[in-house]
Amino acid sequence: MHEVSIVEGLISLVEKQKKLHQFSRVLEIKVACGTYNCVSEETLNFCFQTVSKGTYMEKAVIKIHRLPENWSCLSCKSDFVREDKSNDPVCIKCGSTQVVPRLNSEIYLDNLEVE
Amino acid sequence: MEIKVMNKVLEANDAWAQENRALLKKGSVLMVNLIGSPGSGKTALLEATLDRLKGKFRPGVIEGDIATTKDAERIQKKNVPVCQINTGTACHLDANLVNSAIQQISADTKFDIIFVENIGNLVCPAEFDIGERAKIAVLSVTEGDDKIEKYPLLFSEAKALVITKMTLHPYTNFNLDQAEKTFRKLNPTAPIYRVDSLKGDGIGPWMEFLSTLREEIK
Repeated sequence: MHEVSIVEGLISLVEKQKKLHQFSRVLEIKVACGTYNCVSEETLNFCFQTVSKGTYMEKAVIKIHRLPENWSCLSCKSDFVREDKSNDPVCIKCGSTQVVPRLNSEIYLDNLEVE
Repeated sequence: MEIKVMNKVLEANDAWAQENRALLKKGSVLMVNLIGSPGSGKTALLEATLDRLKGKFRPGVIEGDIATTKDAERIQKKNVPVCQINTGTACHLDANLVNSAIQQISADTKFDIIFVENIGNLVCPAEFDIGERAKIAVLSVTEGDDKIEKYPLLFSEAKALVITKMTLHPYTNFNLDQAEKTFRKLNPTAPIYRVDSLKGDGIGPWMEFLSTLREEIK
């Protein structure tokens, strides 16, 4: 269950924010992560509800949005954001098929909705 | 009220990973992280590798499993220092756990190479930096060549791909050309080794790769 490790990381980041800002409740936690990161919103919320019970975070809902898919072209050496969803991606600058994904495995706490 | 944060969620893990890198650098130790499915032949590859390292490098092993010390017992038979981590429920090793394991096995022994055999899983171990020099993807021919495409993160991050159980290849429909083609789409540079750990076929080039990695950190 890697979601538990992620929830632990999220909670410690929210606690840091509480020390910096005055708030009594967290309503929403927005998480940004790479396209290929195998994090499921449903599982993350399930873990979070269990761990945050009885705290100022317990009403919070986690929402995930995916970061753009970055690719590099081996021919013209440019980096680009892939928009087409075909099986054979091409470079948007030179049209080469010699392209590789820069898979982003990072997970970020993007922003918090608090009151 | 909205608060913009944009902090890495796994920053605690990443901090431990950096700590591990510093610790290994201090002792000039190469750490490689073997990742593959359960039953892909990670332990067998390790056994074949350890046999051939004798007299050249001083190896140590960190074994990660949900339960049991079965793998550590196999490694112990090779007279190599080993530390077994049982994660209980977690599907991956994190940098903090690996730090305690490094501390434990390094207490009274010096190493040139530490092998970490991660928990059998193609998903989660790829997401956690443990401070290794290289992630190695281990894929057996019995699993099928489609696994590369299905679990792209590991294969894109790997510094090498080891295809195992090559003796069984004629009895499977694993397409080696297709596997290499798919791998190259994700990872244009990492070398690919075809091995049979039990027979020792193809182990030579893999051993040379490890020596090169070890040279790089000296």
